[in-house]
Amino acid sequence: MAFEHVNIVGLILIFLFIFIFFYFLYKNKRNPNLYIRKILGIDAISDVCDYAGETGRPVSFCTGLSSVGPVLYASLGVLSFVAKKAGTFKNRLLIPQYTPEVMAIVEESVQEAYESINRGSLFDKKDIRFLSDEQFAYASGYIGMIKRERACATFLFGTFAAESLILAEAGQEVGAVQVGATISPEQVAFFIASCDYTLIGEELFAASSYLTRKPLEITSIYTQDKVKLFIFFIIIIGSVIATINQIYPDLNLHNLDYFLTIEI
Amino acid sequence: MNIKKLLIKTFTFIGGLYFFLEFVMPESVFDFDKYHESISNAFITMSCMAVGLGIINLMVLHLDRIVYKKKDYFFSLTLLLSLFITLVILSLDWYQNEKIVSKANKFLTLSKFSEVILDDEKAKNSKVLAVNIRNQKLISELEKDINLIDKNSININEAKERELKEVLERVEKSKDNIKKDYHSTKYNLNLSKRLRNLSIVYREYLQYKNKDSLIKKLYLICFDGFFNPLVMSMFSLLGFYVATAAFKAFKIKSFESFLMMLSALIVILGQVPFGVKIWNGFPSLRLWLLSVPSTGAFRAITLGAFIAGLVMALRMWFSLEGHEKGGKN
Repeated sequence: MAFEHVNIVGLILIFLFIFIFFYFLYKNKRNPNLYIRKILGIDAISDVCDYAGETGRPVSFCTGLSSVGPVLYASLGVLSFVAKKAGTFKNRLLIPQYTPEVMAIVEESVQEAYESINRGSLFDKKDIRFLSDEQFAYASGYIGMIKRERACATFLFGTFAAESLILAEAGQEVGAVQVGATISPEQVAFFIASCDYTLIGEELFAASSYLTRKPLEITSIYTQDKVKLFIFFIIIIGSVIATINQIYPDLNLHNLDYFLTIEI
Repeated sequence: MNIKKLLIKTFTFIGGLYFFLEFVMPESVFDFDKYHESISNAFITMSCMAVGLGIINLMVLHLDRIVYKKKDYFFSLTLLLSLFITLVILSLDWYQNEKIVSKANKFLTLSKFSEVILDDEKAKNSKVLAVNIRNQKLISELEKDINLIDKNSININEAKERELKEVLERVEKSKDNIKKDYHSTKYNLNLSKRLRNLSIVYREYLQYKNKDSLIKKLYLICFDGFFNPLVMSMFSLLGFYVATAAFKAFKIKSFESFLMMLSALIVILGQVPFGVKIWNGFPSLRLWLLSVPSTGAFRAITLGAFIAGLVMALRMWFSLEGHEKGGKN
């Protein structure tokens, strides 16, 4: 039987990955002391919230063009942390929205975060604003909002495209302290240039675990590191085979990608 | 665990499993296509409901500003007026397009009817009316629909209109052949093909004629006149922002920023003819920088992000999320 989009080896790898995830989840269920290295950008999130508390000006949290998916869920963990801090210091938390589906989820998360610190009355639905589902109209709305409200801190967490620099520069113009995080390598460069702190790629996913220290979230980081280690070894083996093939072409060894062509 | 949570977890798991199997299972094992359209339609329906949420949010926020004449309420008024006007123009344009499609689809329906007559005759289906009666009905309906087309207004100097005239003539010929002997199905296939063609050509003709209508002009003013220039203006801002970002990024504050500045300088010099004049090794150095260190870093970021995304997807699939991520309701 030939599978679509994947072969039997690919499927085995997927199930192996799922197995590793549940194995470590079970093993570390009650162990919140797994080590995560210090990440400056994530430490800055708390500091930036504290700074906003001192100034009393609004804080903005932008999920960019994120749709419902892993990137949004990773950002929601940070949003929840920021909402709790904003609630504690009584800062307004402005959340511009690009898709209505995301808006509904964000609303729920923020309300829950406020209620968890007994500041439910501070939650204002009007601060979660649907701007537009058109990329540049959204960017334009964001600029207007940041400038009118004079946000003192902005968080740019999620999926971004060409508008990333427009959003980051709008924050710069009002002198906001900015933390940017995205998985797109192209937009990371813009954030590095325009934001005060930048989380690169997977650090976005680590941020929520780092801040909350929940066993489940820390286990996720632990698991993905194990999988990355496994892939790292695969890359090394593949590179060695490719080098041998280059030096001794007569050997004509099958490289690892051969396994991805096997059908049963 | 309350029933609401259990339901959400069950549906999330089933949904995840469905999309996983739909992606990897070959058609020979299970024909997902049969159900995929209905499932996609359900998602579209849910998205439409979410759009309603967006509109409600806009209304609540901006009506509040307008009613209480808060600061900058004029902008809110402009936004809501633009929304309303665009909505009206788009609805009218949609209605006009629907009318055109329904007019053209009449011929498509008749084409299918002609095919069905032929198929039933081949299969000797005794449960349906006799061929001559069905053919008579087909032709009478066709004549009614053809008569609705205003042939006098067709300008043969225009390519689109000339094409319609020619297709119409071909349909008339097939129709006359059937009229000669209603009992025969010899010309049904031919008529069916020509009617299908007529449906397409007639729709294009009506759309062509519609281009000068008031609604179409308003639609074009809205999109080509306002919307697109505004989008382009925002996009063009990016050029200026890139320059200011580059200015900030190129400040040498540390060894790392020095390396970044140096790499950028090499890439720029490798790209422009002036760089080659200075040293002809710049293009190959630029290529090496882009294809080796830069690509390596890109792949590392992407790989790490995708693995982390996969773990997050697993957590979502098995509903292992905490309350803060919308887990309560």
